[in-house]
Amino acid sequence: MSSPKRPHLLYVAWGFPPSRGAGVYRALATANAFVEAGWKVTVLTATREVFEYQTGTDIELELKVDPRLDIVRAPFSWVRGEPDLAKWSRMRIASNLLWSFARAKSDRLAFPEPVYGGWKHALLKETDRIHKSDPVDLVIGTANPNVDFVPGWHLHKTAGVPYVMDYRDTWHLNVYTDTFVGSRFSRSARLEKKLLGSAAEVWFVNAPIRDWHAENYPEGSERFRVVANAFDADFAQAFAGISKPTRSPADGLVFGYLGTIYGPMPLRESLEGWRIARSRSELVRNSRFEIHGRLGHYAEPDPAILALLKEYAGDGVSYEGPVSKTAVADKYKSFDALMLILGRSKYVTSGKVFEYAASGLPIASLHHPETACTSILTGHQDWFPVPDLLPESISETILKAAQRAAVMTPGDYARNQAWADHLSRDKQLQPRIGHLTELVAEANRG
Amino acid sequence: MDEPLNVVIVVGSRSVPEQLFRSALGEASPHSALSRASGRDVRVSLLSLLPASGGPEISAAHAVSPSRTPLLDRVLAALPLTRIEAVLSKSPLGRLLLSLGPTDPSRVFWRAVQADPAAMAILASADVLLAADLPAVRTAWQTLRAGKVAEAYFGLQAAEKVFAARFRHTQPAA
Repeated sequence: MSSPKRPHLLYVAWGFPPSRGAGVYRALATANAFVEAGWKVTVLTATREVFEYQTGTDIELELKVDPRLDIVRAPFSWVRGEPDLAKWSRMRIASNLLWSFARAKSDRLAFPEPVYGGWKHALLKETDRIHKSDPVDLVIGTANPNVDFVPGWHLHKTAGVPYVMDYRDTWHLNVYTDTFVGSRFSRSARLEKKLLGSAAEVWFVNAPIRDWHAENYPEGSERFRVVANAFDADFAQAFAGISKPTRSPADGLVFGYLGTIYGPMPLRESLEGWRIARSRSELVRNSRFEIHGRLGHYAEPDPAILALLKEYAGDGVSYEGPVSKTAVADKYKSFDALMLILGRSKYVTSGKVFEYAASGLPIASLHHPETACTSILTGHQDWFPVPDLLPESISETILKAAQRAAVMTPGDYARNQAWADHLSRDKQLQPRIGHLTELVAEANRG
Repeated sequence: MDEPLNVVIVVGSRSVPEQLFRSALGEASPHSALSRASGRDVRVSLLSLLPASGGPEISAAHAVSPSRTPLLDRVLAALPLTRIEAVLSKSPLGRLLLSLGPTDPSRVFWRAVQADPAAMAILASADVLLAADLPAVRTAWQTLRAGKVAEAYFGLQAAEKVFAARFRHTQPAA
């Protein structure tokens, strides 16, 4: 007797290892989780050279890709800077300006999304080929870019395949200004409405974002779910039994920030607060503040942010560069306390909030209280939020976190880790995988 | 043992090459940045519009000096183009027209290079051409299209990544 056919998931993610973009971890974890649950998983992503030449790569992260995944790479051409001149057309050489203009128009014609819209054609070509060789039972597209949603919509229209839209980000919600991006009657807004209305499920990273979409796109909102960014179980295990890093009193403490710095984050206010705290406490004066991660979204550090950090180099602030995902847990363990710096938004949680929580370390939350991660961290016993973003208030919070970090015991870390268990990736993904497995099985039976 | 990779960096604008290098690569010289990225010995030559030493690790530096000014450039020099260009450059359509015309810097540079046999010889000696700025792109692209060089890339920052990916190891099949 032959075993029943494994359900086939087509997982569409522009950014997938070796890309080191912020959204990669969720994509990797989701694809791995489905294959672990017995699905055949084909990942449709961009070509390696896009990441090698443009975003930067994390080769160690690629080692975490489950070898049972089939990876299909659809060619993606980036307007911003294709370095290989063999790929420059005669028209581009004739006038790079004219070519860029025409390319932007053509991209938007294919799909209403700057830069990525032109990828639609390559995506659909590969989608049809994959579906023809081994019929797909479910498509999950993770965005942004939003063009990742297209294969699901396409197979739904042409073959009745259900699809899931996984919003790591938002399409028409500006999470910082709480406004609708563009016109509600624009082509892209109409498209989003259509796609949301027919999706088998739509995943959002937190309840405020889900609720905004339910309010703005009521059709199909009963299928809107929260799948928080969460942390991986093996990541949390790395912190089991940790104790305070050993340092001499003269070395003070090490505060850490680990993540991408970009956009409207209160970085200067935080650094100023740090400077004030150092002027008021010997403990903080002897301490360091290490910033790890990327500065901006591209491989090259954003020069403006780099210059800002250099202004505070004399105050024990150092920029240490990106950290491989596989080295992240060890890096956290070298810190005494964490600085959580985020832009103000009732919609922003950020993936690092979950990692911070998993570590069990004290957290100084240097973001506006309205920011969505406030609700995530409420209940953490060594969490120190700021009442406002004045440097004076930030310095007070840093001082409190420092005092607490100096006396943490292994039992304190363990208690915080136990509290954070409800934020693990398993707890977030498993119910969805279970439901979708049932949905596909039912469709195949019926 | 691998032969040194012969890299020719082309600077087609009036920027000072050393400043371009510093802006793109920081304190590292092109030689050390590309050697480190590729993990192999690299010999770097420079072809530029303005005379430059390029730095101590540049094995040869040549400023383009046409044996005689191309006819078109002599005609253009006789016309009051500066004022027309100043007007056109104020609007998107004007800039587009300029990019298609004979005074576009990449065209001016390419004409000068073609009229300089030594410059053409340097280009043909390269294993890899690196166009450091947009005015150099046409020259690198034409040389590549003519089959005089095997590979040509644009951008010094991107070049570090290209060298790491392209010359350091064999990539897994895409």
